[in-house]
Amino acid sequence: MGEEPESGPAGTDEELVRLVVAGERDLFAPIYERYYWRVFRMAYGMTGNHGSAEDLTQEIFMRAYQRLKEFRGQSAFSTWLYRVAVNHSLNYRRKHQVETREESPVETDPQPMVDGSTTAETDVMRQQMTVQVHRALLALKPKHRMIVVLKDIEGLSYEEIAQRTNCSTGTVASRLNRSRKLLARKLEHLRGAY
Amino acid sequence: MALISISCALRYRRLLSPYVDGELNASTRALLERHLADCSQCSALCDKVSFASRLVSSMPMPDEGSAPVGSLSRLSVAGRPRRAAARLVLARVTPIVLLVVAALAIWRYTALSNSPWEVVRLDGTPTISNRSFAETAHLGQGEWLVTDAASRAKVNVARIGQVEVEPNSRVQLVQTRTTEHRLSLERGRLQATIWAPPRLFFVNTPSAEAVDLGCAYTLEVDDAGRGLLHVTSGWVAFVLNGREAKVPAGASCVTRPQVGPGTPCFDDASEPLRHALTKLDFEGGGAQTLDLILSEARTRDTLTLYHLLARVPDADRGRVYDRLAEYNHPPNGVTREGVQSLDGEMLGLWREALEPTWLKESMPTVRKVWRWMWS
Repeated sequence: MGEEPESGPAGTDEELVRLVVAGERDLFAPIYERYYWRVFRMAYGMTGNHGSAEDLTQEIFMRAYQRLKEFRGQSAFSTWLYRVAVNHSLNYRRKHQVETREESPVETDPQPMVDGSTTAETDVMRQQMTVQVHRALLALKPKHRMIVVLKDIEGLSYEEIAQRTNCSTGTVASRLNRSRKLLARKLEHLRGAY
Repeated sequence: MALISISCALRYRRLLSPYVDGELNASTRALLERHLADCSQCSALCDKVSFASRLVSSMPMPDEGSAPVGSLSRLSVAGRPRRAAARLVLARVTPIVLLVVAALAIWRYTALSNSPWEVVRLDGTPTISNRSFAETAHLGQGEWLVTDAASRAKVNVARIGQVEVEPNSRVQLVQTRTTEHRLSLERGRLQATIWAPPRLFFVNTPSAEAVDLGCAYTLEVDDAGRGLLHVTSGWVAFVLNGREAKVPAGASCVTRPQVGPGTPCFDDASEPLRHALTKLDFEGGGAQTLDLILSEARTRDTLTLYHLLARVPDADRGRVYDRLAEYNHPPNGVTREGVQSLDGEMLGLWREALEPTWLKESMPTVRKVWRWMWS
């Protein structure tokens, strides 16, 4: 979610938000459509589980909907939505601490993935690798995991991550350094397979 | 294991992720690349950082079709995902459970109202209304419990605490009801341990009233009606005619008839400070006495300095403020002028900032939670 306001046939984010707040509740649908998968990807990275990611995504949109009046337009709507998503995801992890343990069940039968696999064997290997990467991610502290997800899954810049997580770009860099060193140590055995 | 040079750790390693992510400017990138060419350790680490980044970013993501419409309908119409629905049920059930618990608590307190208190003989022959008793007896409203030089007794205060009455004491049960349990200590000494919410248990003395704020304390009254309160746990307020001292654990407060409670001070305060305080509170001590107190005060004696703010003449208040501010800078919103005019809000703010420095006792978590519930 970049800084530029999103727009579409239904209007810009900010226009839609104004109308929803004014009582046109159905106009939340285009916002939801626009951002669902971006929020879901982050939720998936944070939970490592398709079902939990769906639940978390729903909760994030519900929270955003409830707090829509608080959006003052001082930043892009996408930035605001991401802040809501980040805060809610971190709280979600606190409420579901048990699932953050390394031994917690990470999805072993994920939903259909988009990739270029051509053989069943490659599919199985990919899925196993994904499970292991998710497990390693879940072993990180939630705040560190969030930064990795925002950078390596969402592809945000350091500045964008800093805005959305209320920390400095220096903190973003140091958390990424630390997290990636840990991930590399845990996943070293995948180097050949990768 | 090879040692990492300080230069690597401080200068270069923090740049590795920004380098991998293309976040460095050209000059810093060139500097780091020259270093990586020479330093095999940093180069290996950079490779690891890059490897981890590629692993995560290459994870396949669930297929992105259109956003699930069913989810939106749950969001905006039914309005609740599964877990939120569970929380809704919980939100409806919780108040009912709380109401039942509250009703039970009220019933319990009400049932105890006006009941006489059980008294257990500990030593000698204490008496209730001039009648001695063997092991246990009951103390009704208006009755006196008296101990001589060789006797002691324990009083069970409804079900909210216990009071041990020491030798040579006269204690009366003044009132016992749901919202107030009150003793009067005419002379002697008692030790109270109370586990009820604050402001439910009171002890009258000839020169002040002790108000329990969730605590344990001893209270003494001599034949002239002078009193001494010493708090061993929690807080006790000592009040008379609007003059109040809030005394924390480890501190004491003297009281005198017609004057009321003096200024509280910690038991480990210096002797000169304690003497000067008695002089200031009860013997007409003036500016010189105050000077001595200010010079003797340590960091922890901010308890005494804070109470002095409301007790010294207006002309001296500024000096007390300055000394207090040396030890604990006033929080935002608290000004010298405001404190000099005894602005209640400002005094409250400063007190909140000071209180943690007064509480040195180690307290079990259960007790902290209990206090927090009632604070």
